Parts: sequence; C-alpha cells; structure tokens
Amino acid sequence: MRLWLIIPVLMAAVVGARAPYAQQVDFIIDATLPVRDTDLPYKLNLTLTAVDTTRIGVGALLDLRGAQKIVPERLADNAIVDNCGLQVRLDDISFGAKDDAIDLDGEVTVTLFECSRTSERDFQRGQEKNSILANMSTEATVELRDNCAYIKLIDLTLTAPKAQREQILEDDTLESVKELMLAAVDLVLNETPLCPELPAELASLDPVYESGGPREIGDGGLGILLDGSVDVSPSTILDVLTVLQQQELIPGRP
Amino acid sequence: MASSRLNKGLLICVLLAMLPGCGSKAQDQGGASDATSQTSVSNTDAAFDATGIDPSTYSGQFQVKLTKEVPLRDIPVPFTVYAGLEESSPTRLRLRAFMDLRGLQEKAPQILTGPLEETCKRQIYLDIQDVTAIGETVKVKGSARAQFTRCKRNEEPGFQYFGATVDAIAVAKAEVKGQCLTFSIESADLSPRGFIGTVTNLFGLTDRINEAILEKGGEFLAANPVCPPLPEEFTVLDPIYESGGTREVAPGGMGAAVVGSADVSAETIVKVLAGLKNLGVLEFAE
Repeated sequence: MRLWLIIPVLMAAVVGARAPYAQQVDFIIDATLPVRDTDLPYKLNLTLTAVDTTRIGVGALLDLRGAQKIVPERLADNAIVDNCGLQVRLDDISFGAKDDAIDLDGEVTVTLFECSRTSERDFQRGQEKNSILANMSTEATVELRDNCAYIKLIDLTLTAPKAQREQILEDDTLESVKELMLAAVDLVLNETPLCPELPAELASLDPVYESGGPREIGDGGLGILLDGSVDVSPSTILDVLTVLQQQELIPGRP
Repeated sequence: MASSRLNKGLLICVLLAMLPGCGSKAQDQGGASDATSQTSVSNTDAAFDATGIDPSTYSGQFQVKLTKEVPLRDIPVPFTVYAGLEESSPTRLRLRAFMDLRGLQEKAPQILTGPLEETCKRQIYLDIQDVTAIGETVKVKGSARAQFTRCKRNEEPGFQYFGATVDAIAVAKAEVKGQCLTFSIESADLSPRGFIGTVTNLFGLTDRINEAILEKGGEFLAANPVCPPLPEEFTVLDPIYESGGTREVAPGGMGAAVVGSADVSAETIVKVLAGLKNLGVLEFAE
C-alpha cells in the first residue's frame, strides 16, 4: 500500500515540481514507558533542526499528559509504605507541571498498627492503633543521567488536620512517615528512567542529550524536555532508508 | 530524417503519460504491486541473469527496485527502475540509476501508432514497427503518413492537395541535461514510398513533409525531456545528474542509465526526513 506513495512522486520528479521543505522537522511518536510490570503510554514529540553542516539539534519532549491521568488512578488505594506497624496509602494524588517544575499533591492515609515480634525474623501485625489522613505536597525536578531523564523529589511536606495533629506529634510519626515515603518514592522513580527511545527508522539518529527539565504543556500538562544533538553523515540517510526498506515501507532491493 | 525524431518524441510522451497514470491508480493497485515487487526481490540472482542489466549501473550501499505495470491507452506496460545510493565522501552521496525500458519498447509500436497531429491544414499519422537499442543509441523504424489539406471555415480539413507516406529509420541519442534525458536525432533515413515519392521529390514536397514531421517531433522532444522517475527518497536529495543516456540491455533491449550526486549536510538530512514524513513512511503515532 505504502509502496504507492512513491508513485505520485515519480510524477513530481518528471514535472520537476519540488515541495518546499523546512530545515526543521517534527515527529510525533507513540511510545511506552515500562514501569514495573506495566507500560505507560506517552507521546514523544521529536524536533530535528539542522544546526550546522554535520550536526542536527534534537529536542525530545516527552508528553506525559496521558500518564498524568493514568498514574493517579493506578496508585489509588495502593500502599506505598506497608510494613508491620505502618501503612501509608495514597488516596488521591495529582501532579502537574508548573513552568519548569513538577508539582505533586495528594492525600495519604497513615495507619498505625500494633506490631509484635513472633520470632527472630518475623513480626506480626496486630490491632489498628490509629489512622489519620494527611495532606501531602511535594515538588519534583528532573535529572539527566545516561541519556535518560529521572524524576526526583526535592522535598515532601506532610500536614495533618489539627484534630489529629497532637496525636501524630506525640507519636512522632509524621517525620518517619515522610522519610519512609521519600525513600519509597525515590526507589520507584530511580527504577523508572524516562529514556526517549526512537523508532527503528530513526535509530541511526542516536542523539546525546545535554540538558533536560520539566516543561509545562498547555495548562498544567506534564512534559519533560530533553535537548541534545547528533552528528550526521550521508550514511545516516542510507541507514534510515535501509530500515524503511526492511520494514517494506518503501520498495525493496533489486 | 524526421520520423525518428517524432517517434522518439512519442516515446517520451509515453513515459510522461504513464507516470500520471500511476498516481491515479495508485490506491487501487497497491496490493497487487506489492506482491509483484516482493516476488522480484526474492529472485535476485535469477533476475540478474534474466534482465541482463549490469548491477554496477545501480550499485550502492542502499539499493531499490521499483516495478510497476501501468496501463497506457489500455495496454499494460511494465516499467522497472533500479537505483543505488552510496556515500562517496563525508558530505556527498553518489546516485546511480538504471531504467529498464524494454516493456515500453515492446509495447511502443502498439501504443504509438496513431495520429500525431490532426489539424485542418495537416494530419500526420504514425505507424511504428520497431524500436531497438543499439549501444548508446535507439533505432526507431516505422512510417508516417502526412496529408496536407485546406482548412474549411469551420476549421475542419477540406480539400486534400497532397499526401504521402514516408518510411523512416532513425537513430536517436539521449543526453543528460539537468535531471532529465533529452533526446536528439543522430541520423535518419527517410524515403517517400513508390512513384508518389519520386514526384514528391520533384516538387520539393519531401522537404515539406520532413519539415512538418521534424517540427512536430522537435516540439515533442523540446517539451518532453525524459526525467528519470526516481523514488522520492532520491528526489528529496536534490541530486545533480552528471551523465547518462540510453543503454542497450541484452541484444537490442532499451534501457537508460543515469549517474548523479548530491551534497549531504545536516540540512539535507532534515529535508530528507521531512520529505519521507510527507510521503507518509515515517509515521509513529495513531
């Protein structure tokens, strides 16, 4: 089917007509991000710009607005900290980009249990001691490592309603909950690098990213922009064409 | 001298005509041709033996073969282009292409036979018998019938004051000019038939027929150079075609070879990617 796209072109070649091409080209790529045992869909907006004779500037904007909707749903009612004496559940979470930072807000339910030791290694969770609802708010930023973006929490603030505050403070729970949450979230985020993977056709453009950060898309939409470049040569074109041929998107070899 | 030029002119028209034809039928015939090109790909080695085409005429790191049967005046004409690209320097690509025109050559007499000009003052009809490639030239054998008439008021042909049939054998050669092959007559042998021919010569009318045919054929050649129908992947490179022309494939078979090159910079690569995107082959999102 796509073979036939070549044909109108033959016409164009004969008539001598040439479409005007810009020195910049954009691609929108459907991509997925493996997170634990699921894949999160996102869109990669790739902008290629000729910057000098042998170098193409690459801007990779990861549009995570889809994930922004899905992730809170998936996280809902999931315990991010769950040990013998303490359980922290995310009830309602939302995050978004604001200018060049990521804002994260939500509610967590912190439940304390009795915890008794049953043997050298085992603990037995007992009765529920206490349960409180706290508001969580945090800011995140993006770090660039090994050509991938990592989301990193800057800090985390937990606040509990007045009525429950004394209780919490008494138990000195809030601080330990916060530490545990930070550790748990960072662990997950560290296992979840955002590596913009280019489709096979464009794989010969193997950009090196030099900087990256959060980027607001529209109103509050979460995006991460990576900037880099790639050195090119005539064989870059041949590589792209060869992949297109292998995928039978253009006519085959003689 | 004339009719070969005219025949060549028509050949060119055929080339031109078949290409737009491709466009309109493109969607319907997609599946069928896919299958065709698949088969030809798998028979690579056999194909070389059978085609008689020297692979060095389209050598390159990236090679592509386009095969298509295009109906031309309801006659299906097979058309094949082999092309190759390779890096010739850090900033240049070399391009070689070979067009197998034997299908066209075979069908040419069938396709080309017919009226060339039908005005009230002049009607020229062609009858092509044979098109043969000899080395880097093309020999065209056929005849042309010319009628000279007076125009009626309604611009229809009226009284015919002269008519003659001319047998012609002409040799044409193609030159690369810019992106296109431009044909010209190398030599031609025209002979008006029979007694009328003798009379024609006496009255200097042979010249007039020659002139008419040369004029008409010349117009065709000037207006319709053969521009290699290369894949868009090549066209977006904006190559400079440096040399080429018609070539003989196996004994008598007609083909055309073209060699060119293209400067490649980051800008070109971006352009090529944009071109491929416009073609719809680089699509990664629903």
